[in-house]
Parts: sequence; C-alpha cells; structure tokens
Amino acid sequence: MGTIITGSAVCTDMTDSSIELSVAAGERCIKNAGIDPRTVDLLINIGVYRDDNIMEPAIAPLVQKRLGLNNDPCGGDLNVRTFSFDLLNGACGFLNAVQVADASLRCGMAANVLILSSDVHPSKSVNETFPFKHIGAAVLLSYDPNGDRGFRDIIYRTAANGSGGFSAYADTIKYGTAGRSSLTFVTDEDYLERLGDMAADTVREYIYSKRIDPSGVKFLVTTQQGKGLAEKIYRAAGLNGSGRAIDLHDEFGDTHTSSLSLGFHTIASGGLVQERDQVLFVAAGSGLTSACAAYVI
Amino acid sequence: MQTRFESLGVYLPDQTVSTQDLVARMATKPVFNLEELTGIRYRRWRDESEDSYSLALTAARKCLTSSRYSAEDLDIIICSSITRFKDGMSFYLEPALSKGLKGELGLRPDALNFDITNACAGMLTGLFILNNMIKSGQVKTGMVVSGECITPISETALKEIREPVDKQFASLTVGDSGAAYILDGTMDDAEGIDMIDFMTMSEFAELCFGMPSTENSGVAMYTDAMAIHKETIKRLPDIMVHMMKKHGISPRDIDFIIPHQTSSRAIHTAMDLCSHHFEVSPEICISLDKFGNTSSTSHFVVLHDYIKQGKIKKGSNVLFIALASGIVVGFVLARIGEIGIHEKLIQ
Repeated sequence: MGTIITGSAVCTDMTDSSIELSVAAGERCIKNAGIDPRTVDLLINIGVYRDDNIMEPAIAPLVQKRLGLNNDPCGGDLNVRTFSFDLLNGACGFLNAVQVADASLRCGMAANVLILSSDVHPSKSVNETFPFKHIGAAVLLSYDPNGDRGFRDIIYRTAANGSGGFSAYADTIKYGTAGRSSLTFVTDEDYLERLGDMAADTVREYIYSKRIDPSGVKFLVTTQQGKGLAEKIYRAAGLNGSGRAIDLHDEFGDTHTSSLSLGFHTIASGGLVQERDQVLFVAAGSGLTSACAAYVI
Repeated sequence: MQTRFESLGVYLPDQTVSTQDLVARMATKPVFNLEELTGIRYRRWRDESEDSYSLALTAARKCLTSSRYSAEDLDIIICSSITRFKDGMSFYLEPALSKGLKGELGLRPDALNFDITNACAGMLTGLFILNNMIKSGQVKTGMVVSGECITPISETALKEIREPVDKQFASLTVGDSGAAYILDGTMDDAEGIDMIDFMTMSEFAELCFGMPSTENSGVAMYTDAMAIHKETIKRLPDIMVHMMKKHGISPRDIDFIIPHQTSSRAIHTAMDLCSHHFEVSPEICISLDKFGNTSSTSHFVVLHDYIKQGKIKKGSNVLFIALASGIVVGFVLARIGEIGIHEKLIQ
C-alpha cells in the first residue's frame, strides 16, 4: 500500500506565464490519468517564481479556476470540491508536497492530489538573469491500499550552518515601480559543488538507513541545477549497478521545482520502467536542503 | 488519536495607529465612516527594524516559552506568511522563511520545514496539513507560524486612493502581527481538533490581489470587497449547514466562533444569516477594534485575546471559520485544553 503516481505531464510551450504553464501541464496530466477532473480534490502548487510577483491569492486557486476543478460547488453537490494552496521550498518542494499528499490520502482527506509546478521570471518574459527554465509540470497522486507500489519514507536534511548558497528576493522598495517585473538572485561560487555533495550524502544515508540494495535502483531522478550534476550525485552516492541517473540539464537547463516531475515523466512516458522497478528521487536546494525518497513503480 | 493545540504564541508590535489617524492622512476621504463600517479603531504597526520574518520569529519563541516541548522536540515547522518580507522589505522567494526560523529556533537538521501560502487562510491551511501529518504518523509534533508585516499595503493605499470607492480601501483595515502554535497528538478526549473541512471557490480567485504597486515603490492590495461580500454571503449559510450536517455537529456543540477578521459589519451580516438555521447562537469573537485584520494570523490573535480575557478557557468548543482570497472557505472545530500562552497557563 502506498501513495502512487497515477499521471504525469510537462509543458514547454512558448508561454512565459507560470499560471498558463501549470494549467497546460495540469490539463495534460488529468487527461493522461484518465480521471474525471471533478475528482481532483486537492491541488498543491509548488512553483516558486510567479507572474507579477503575486503575493495573494496563492497561485493554486488561479490555476484551479482555469482547470475548472469544482470552481463553485454551491448549487451542486457540496461534497464534490477542491482545496488548493501553494507550498514553497525551492527545488525540495516536490518531495514535501508528496509528504503532504501522502498524509492527506492516508487520512481520507483527499482522493486525488494534483501537484503542479512552474517557474517564470515575474516579468513573464525571457530574462537572462533568470536561472531557471520556463516550464510547467504536473503529477497526480492517489492511494493504493493494496500491493507494494508507491513512495517509501522520505528523509530530509538542512545544512546546520553557513550560507544557504542561493537566495532570491524582490526588493519592493529598491525596485521602485518595477516590483512586479524584477527579482534579485544571489548565488555562492561553490553552490553547485555543495549541492552535489549534500545530495550524494543524503542518498548514501537513505540507502544505508532504509536498507536499499544499490544494485536494485533503476533510476536516480534528481534536481538539475548544473550540467553533469545528476551523474555526479549518482557516482558519489555509490550507485554503480545497472541503473542510471536521469540527466536532463543539457536538454532543458535547470527546471527547478519541475525537475523531479519532469524526470519521472521522462522515464514513465518513455516506457523505461516496469512494474516493481525502484526509482530514487533526490532533491537539493533551497538554502541548503536535501531530501530523498524511494518509489516503487 | 487526535491532534490538539499544545501551545500558542502571539506577538503584536507596540505601535498603535488609529483609524482616525489614517483617514486624516488621506487626500481622498472615504464616502463612508471607515471606523463605523469596519469596527476597527486601532491596529498595530511594526517598527522600522521589524519584518515578516522577525515577527514570526518572536511569536515562535513566545510559543516555545509556553510549551512543554523544546525546539529540538519539533519534527516540523511550517511558515504561512503572505508577506514574506525579510531583511527589510525584500519579498523572499528562496530560501523558505521556515528554513531560517528552523535554524534560529534550534530545530534538528532532520526536522521538516516548508512554507505555504494561502492568503488569510494560511495558518489554518497549516493546521489541515499538520493534522494529517500527525495522524498519519509522519511526524509527532510540529509548529505552524506566520509573521505578517502587512501594513505596507496601508502605506501604499494612503498614497494611491483617489476615488471615494476604491479597491485599496480594504488595505486600510490591516495590522501587523506574528502568531505561532504547536500541534501534537493526544489520546485525551477532553481536548483536540474534532473537525477540519476546507474548499476553494476558485471561481472568485481574482477578486483580491496583493502584489507590488506600479505607481509607487512598495506593495499594494486590490480588493473588490463588494463582490467578495456578495458572493460569500450568498453561499456561506449553505456551506456551513452542509458542513455541520456532514460532520454531525450541532450549534450546541459550539461555544465560540472565530471568523476571519475583516469588518465587524460583514462578520455580523454573515453570522446572522447562518444563525437563522440554528436554535442557539454561539458567541462571535471579534478583536477587530484593537488589532484590525492581521491577515493569516487573525484567528490565533483572536484566540489568544479571548484566552487572555478568560472568555475562552479549558473545555471551550471553538469553531474557526477561514474566509480568504482564493476564495478559501474552511472550518475547524477545536476543543480547547490546557493550552499554553506566554502570559499565563490556563488551567
């Protein structure tokens, strides 16, 4: 029994709106899963960088509206509705959202959870200072009370001291009247190296503490902050069996909060996995944080 | 096993600003009496050294002071601020505010942290999440915290309101604050969270936006208050009756209702319509006159205030009603136990 992925999708269309990217990915995901949209009862948006630096409402209800997920249940069956909110934790948000979804599904507080992500420059245009790919991604989760499929425990670590390595903010005073279209990024020189080390440490700890057979890991799905990072984490974590790391940086760049959804979608839609294959998800980022979880197809 | 509020901490900055003072500073005066309409006489404003992060940190420390837990006992911290201002007026997108709070408060490196945003339903959305995580066995004990440095939208409104009916009038109702609570599990039926029920009526998601202003530096909030009032008033009684029937709750099971603190007139109109369906009317808790609308912390600022006044006490059944941009409608029914607050421990 466990929380399983019942659908996935990505959107790389030529739109630079975080809302539109999430809507497109969400629509495809629901269609791929073959479910009635009205049965999506929990929507979690994990995208961080949003149109116009919107602070309120959450992005999730704006996407929910465009997806038409029980937008106004009054007058109909009030038991059929959707609850939506944003969860923010940089590239680690995906695994946090999986935890939140898993808890909600196990408690009977949701049946189908849609996790959406997209990151764009707030100006809704291509900006060379923006380090992430404009992309949208979605996964749909539900609970399987039988069998052995799904997510296993997640471990989560934050670096105790020192610089977070990366920060992003909108200085609402300094930007003057350009607050809706400006962002500042600060990245330490050794950020990528520290990320890779921390992610590899977390995978090693996961393998040891959860008694995972490294040779049984078919794919390592990672965040994609730099060229070759996925492969580096794979090797440093001691994963030297017949499996491999999914490295999509050359094709997409840094897909940030969509990385893990994109990685999973790539292997699932490409027919690269079979039942009972084991996939390891590892996320690193958000100053400095890492998380790891096994998933059995 | 169910969850319960174990501890509560609220921080309100010292500086008090009256509605009369604010209106006196406006170039275009409202056509209505703002104080009479909203019931807000005063709100708190941060001092120059404070921001959302520091307000949250102070509240979290107060919450821990009253708790039987230390920071190292917490398995998770969730921050639900809308405003997310740190290092002054910088709106932080990464790292999560909860990451910094986790470090400064002294939580373990393996404790979970993430931020959520869900407008003024943020702290109650945190309750939805943490309640499920405790009940499913993922964590045992956690904190939900929010710091809201939200009066910068009032400062923008003072500069930008030009019409007698303007979308920025609601920005004059807000006050700064921080709030935190610790939630844990209990086998004691005498206290705990009995019911949580949330939905998002996204048809109306665009009736209120908070974002940077394009006329001045700083942030602004644009609210179609009339439309929000009309659409929610129309629907809230049916939703509330449905919720109570679904969960087998009688009005007699409720001693106090803590609604989101928007304006006293709006709250009373909504509650009057709902109470037509009830044979008894629980006491409606309002602290708007002193603190204004403190956004995502509002329910816990009011809970804290009523506990301090000795009105809500051990054994009180409290219904929290979330009503937030989105539009989020949510209900939480809680039996209050020996909840710690920093001024005194209620016995």
